[in-house]
Amino acid sequence: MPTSPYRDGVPNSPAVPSAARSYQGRRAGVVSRVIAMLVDLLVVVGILVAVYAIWTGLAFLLHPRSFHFPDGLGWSIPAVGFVVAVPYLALTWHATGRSYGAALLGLRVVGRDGRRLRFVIALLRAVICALFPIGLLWVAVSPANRSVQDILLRTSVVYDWTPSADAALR
Amino acid sequence: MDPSPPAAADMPAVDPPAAPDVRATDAPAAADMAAVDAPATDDVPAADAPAAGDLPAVDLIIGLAAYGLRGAGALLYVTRPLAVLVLRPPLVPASLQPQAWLSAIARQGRTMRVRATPQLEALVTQVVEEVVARVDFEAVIHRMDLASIAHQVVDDIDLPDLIRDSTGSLASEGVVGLRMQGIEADERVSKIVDKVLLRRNSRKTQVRPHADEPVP
Repeated sequence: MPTSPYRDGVPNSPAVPSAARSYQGRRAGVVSRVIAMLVDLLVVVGILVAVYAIWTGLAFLLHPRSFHFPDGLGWSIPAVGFVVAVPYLALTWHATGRSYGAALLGLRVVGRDGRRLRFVIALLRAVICALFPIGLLWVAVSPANRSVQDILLRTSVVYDWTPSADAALR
Repeated sequence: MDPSPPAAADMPAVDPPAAPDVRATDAPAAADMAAVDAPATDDVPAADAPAAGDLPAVDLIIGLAAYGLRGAGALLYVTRPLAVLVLRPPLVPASLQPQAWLSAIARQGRTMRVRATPQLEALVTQVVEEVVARVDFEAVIHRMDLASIAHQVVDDIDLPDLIRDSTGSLASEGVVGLRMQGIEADERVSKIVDKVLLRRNSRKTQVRPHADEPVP
């Protein structure tokens, strides 16, 4: 009879304290996931700031006389944020199952059978997360700790404190 | 006898003897510590340390000094009322109290110190200048192999290991704390929401197992 790869947590891993072992492989709650999302938001904002700095720096180097800081950014900020956030989330979820925020909080995004996400699923999930981030709050109400995007794509976000990307996923 | 002038004179006179008291109490303590040091280095390993070679002498001395200072402080605290009684006995005129004698001696010592300080400073300056003038520092520096010393210091420091030790443990402790608090907060929120929704069954948070391969 097949068992969950997380059924016994990771008893032999020194990276996981005994108090947290019983949670390994279980779907994470809303607080951890919201904090992870906020960390990822900070990462995206950092990337945006870097892009802005590079952009203005190049503009200054190319046209130093007519240079002025770009004004009226307006709607370009969320648009560029979307363009940055979707590949960032999709690539990290597909590659290791965790974005930076998830890695910090010890979370991992997995597919329906506990495996790593396929790229298409990761991309779709990233798009839904970027367009409808409030869907994350459904985790608090869901009897299975699932967000709206989890329900739509049959994915899960689990506690996984194992340090390596492939320790729990095969 | 007018009580107020002696009292006013007493006030500044109280402090100087008190300070010598402290020094007098500390000095034997320091002497005690120094005397205790040598045998204590033999005693401590036998008491609780696993190996004699593991005991750094400096730490041992600092520890003993701390004990000594603590003891001196306690002794001072206990004997303070007695010292006050001895120095300022009741019913004895202020001019005949031992404190008054000590104050007079201290005043005399202070006058001598003030008078001798400029002469001493001038002497020390002269000696130092003479020494500095005679020593050929360039020759001394030339004689020293500064490059090899610098290399040895850099090699001994092992900076990457130091950084790894200092930041790694801090980061991991902080991250573990954050994750544990996250899990606890998740549990709390889930319980509250389940109560509000009158849910009787606990949440099904286990991910579906792999369908095709057993897991050890």
